[in-house]
Amino acid sequence: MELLLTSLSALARIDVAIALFVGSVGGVIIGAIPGVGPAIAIAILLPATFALEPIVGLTLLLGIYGSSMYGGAIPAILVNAPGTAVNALTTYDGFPMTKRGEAARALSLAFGASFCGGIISIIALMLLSPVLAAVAPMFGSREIFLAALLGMVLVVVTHRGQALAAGALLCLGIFINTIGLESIRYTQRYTFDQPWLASGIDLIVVVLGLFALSQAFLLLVGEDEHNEPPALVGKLFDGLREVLRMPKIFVPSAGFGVVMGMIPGVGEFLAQFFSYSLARKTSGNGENFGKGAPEGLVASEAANNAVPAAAMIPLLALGIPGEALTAMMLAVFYVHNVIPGPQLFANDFDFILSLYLALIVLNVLAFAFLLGTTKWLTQVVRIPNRFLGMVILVLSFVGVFSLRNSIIDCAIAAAFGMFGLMLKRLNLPIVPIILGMVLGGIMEVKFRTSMARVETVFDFIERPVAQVLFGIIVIVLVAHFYSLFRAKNPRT
Amino acid sequence: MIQENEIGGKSNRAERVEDYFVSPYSSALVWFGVCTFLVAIFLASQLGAQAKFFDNLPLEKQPGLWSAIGIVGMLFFGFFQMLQFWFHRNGLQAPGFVAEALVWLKAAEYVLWFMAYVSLVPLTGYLPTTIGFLLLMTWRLGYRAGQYYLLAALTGLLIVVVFKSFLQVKIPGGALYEYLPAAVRGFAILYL
Repeated sequence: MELLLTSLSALARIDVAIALFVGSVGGVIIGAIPGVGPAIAIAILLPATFALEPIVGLTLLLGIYGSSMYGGAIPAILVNAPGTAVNALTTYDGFPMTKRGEAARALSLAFGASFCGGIISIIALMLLSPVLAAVAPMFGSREIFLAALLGMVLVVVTHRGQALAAGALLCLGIFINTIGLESIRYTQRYTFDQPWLASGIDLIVVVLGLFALSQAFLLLVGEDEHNEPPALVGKLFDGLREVLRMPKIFVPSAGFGVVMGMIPGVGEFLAQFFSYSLARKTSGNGENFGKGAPEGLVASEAANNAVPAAAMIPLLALGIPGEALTAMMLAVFYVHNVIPGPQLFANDFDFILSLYLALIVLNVLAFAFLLGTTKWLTQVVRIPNRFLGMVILVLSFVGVFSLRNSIIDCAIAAAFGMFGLMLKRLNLPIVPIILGMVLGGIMEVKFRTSMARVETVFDFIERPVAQVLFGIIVIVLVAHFYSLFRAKNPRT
Repeated sequence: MIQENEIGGKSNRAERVEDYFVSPYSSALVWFGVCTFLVAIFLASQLGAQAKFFDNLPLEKQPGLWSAIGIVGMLFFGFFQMLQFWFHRNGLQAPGFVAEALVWLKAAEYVLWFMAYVSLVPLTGYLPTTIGFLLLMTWRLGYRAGQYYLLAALTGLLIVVVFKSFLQVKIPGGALYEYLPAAVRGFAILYL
C-alpha cells in the first residue's frame, strides 16, 4: 500500500499531469493522421524530452505510443487507410461496416476493444510484477546477452518471406553501431580518418532519418489522397458495452497482445494477426470475417492496444527493447543515467509502478477524449499528404539539430532518410536496423563482461536462465527452418 | 502491399503473415540488393585497416570484433539473398530500376530543400526560416489557395513556439538577430 501511495505521489505533479494529457491526446491525433504514426512522433520528440525528468519524458512518450493505436483505428475504419501499420487488420472489418452505414458503431467497438485490451494488459503486468521482480535478478551479463540474441533471432525469423533482407539489415545496424572511437583500446572503427565520424553515428540521428525523414520524402514524392470521411450517425458510447459482451474475443486477443509484446522482436503486428485468426475460428461468425464482422474488429484492436504496456517489460526488466519504439525510449533512460534492467526492477519498483499507473490514466484519457471529439477528429484525414510531408521535414530538423546543433548530423539523417525511402519503396523492413544498433551495443558490452568469467563455451550456458534462453533460441531456429522446409515440400 | 512502418496508402488484403512481408522481385530490388552487397564486400576489404585486431588480446576485447560480426553477417545474408535473386531471375516484376530510380531522384530534390533549410536556420533564425521554408515549400508543392499559405505560416509559428519558446530545445538564435534593436534582441535569441 505504501508503495502504491509513493507511486501515486510521483504522478500527482503538474508536469506529469501535463505530460499525461499531451501524450494521450497528442497520440490519438497523431495516430489518426495516415502517414504519421507514433514512431515518427516519438523520434521527433525524443531530444525535447531529454530536458524533462525521466517520469515526465517517459509518460509523454508512452502516451503517444499507447494512445496512437486508438487514433489509428479512425482512418482505418472510415477511409480504409490505417493510421498506423498495426491497424492494418482493422480495415478488414471496420471499412465494410462503414460502407454499410455503421461507421459510428465500428469506431465505438474499436475504441471499446482498445480500452479493454489496454487495461487487461496493464492488469496482467501488475499481477506479473512480483514474478518479474523475482526473476529479473537472475539475469546476469550472459543471460542479457542471450536475451538480446533471442531478440535478434526473432526479428529475423518473424519477417517471414524477408528473413534474408531482415538479417542483412540487422547486421548493418550492428555495424553502424560500431563506427567511431571504441572504448577498450581507443582505436577508430570505420571512420576513414574523418573527424566527424569519430564520435560515431547517433542512434537518434539514424532513427529520425529512417522513420521521420524517409516518411516525409515518401509523402512528398507521392500524390495527395482526397479522403472524405463519412458523417458519423449514432452514439459512440455503446461500443464498450458491446465489447464487454464478447469476452471470448477480447480476453484472448488481449492475452496475445501481452505475450507478443513481452517477447523481444515480435510486436503488435503479429499479435493482431494471430488474435484475428483465432477469433475467426472461435467466434462462430468466421464466414463474415473480412466482410464487417464486429468480432474481427474487436480482436484486432484489443490485441494491438495490449502490446505497448507489455513491450515495456523486456525494456524495464532486462534493459532490452523489443522493437523500435521501446528502443527509442531506452535513449531517455540513458540520458538520465537511469539504467533499466534487473536492478531497476528490484530497487526502484515504485518508479515501475508509477509507469503502470500512468498507462492506466493514459488509456482512460485517450478513451474519454475520443468519445468526446471523434466527430471533429475524423477531419484530420483530410490533411493533404504532401503538406504533411513538409511539416514532418521541419519537425525532423528540431529532433536532429537540437541534439548537438550539428549540420553534419542533419546531413547524416538526410542520408538515412533517403536510405529509408528506398527501403520503404521496396517494402523492406526498417526496424531490424534500429534493433541491430541497440541490441548490438548491448551484446558487445555484455559479451565482454561475461567472457571474463567464462573458461569454455559451455560455461556460457551453465546457469538455468541461460539454458532456457539458449533452448528457446535453438527451438525458434529449428521451427523456422522446419517451416521453410514444409513450405518448400508441402507433401512431406 | 502493407509496409511494416507507417503508411499512408490503402491496405490490400493478406491471408498469411508472410504476405505482409514480401517484396516483389523487381529489378529495382535486385539492383538495391546487389549494391548493398557490394558495399558489404568493400567494408569487408577494409576490415584490417579500419578496425583493429591486436595480438595477445582475447577475442571479446578485440576492437574490431563487432564490426566484423556486422560485416560478416551482411555478407552471409547478402550472399543467400543474391542466390535467391538468381533463382527468381525470370520472375522480375514492376517497377523497373529506371522508374524506381527516378522516384529516388525526385526525393533527392527534397533532401536539398531540407539541407538548405538546415543551413539557413543558424544564419537567419529559427522562426523566420521555418515560416519562409514552409511558405516556399507550399508554393513548390503546387498549392495555390490562400488557406494553405495561412496554414503553413501558422504551422511554422506553432512549431517554433512549442519547441523553442516552450520546450526550450537547443536551437541557437540566428546570426541576423544580432542586428535587431537591443530591446528585442535578447528575446529573439532566446525564444524565436
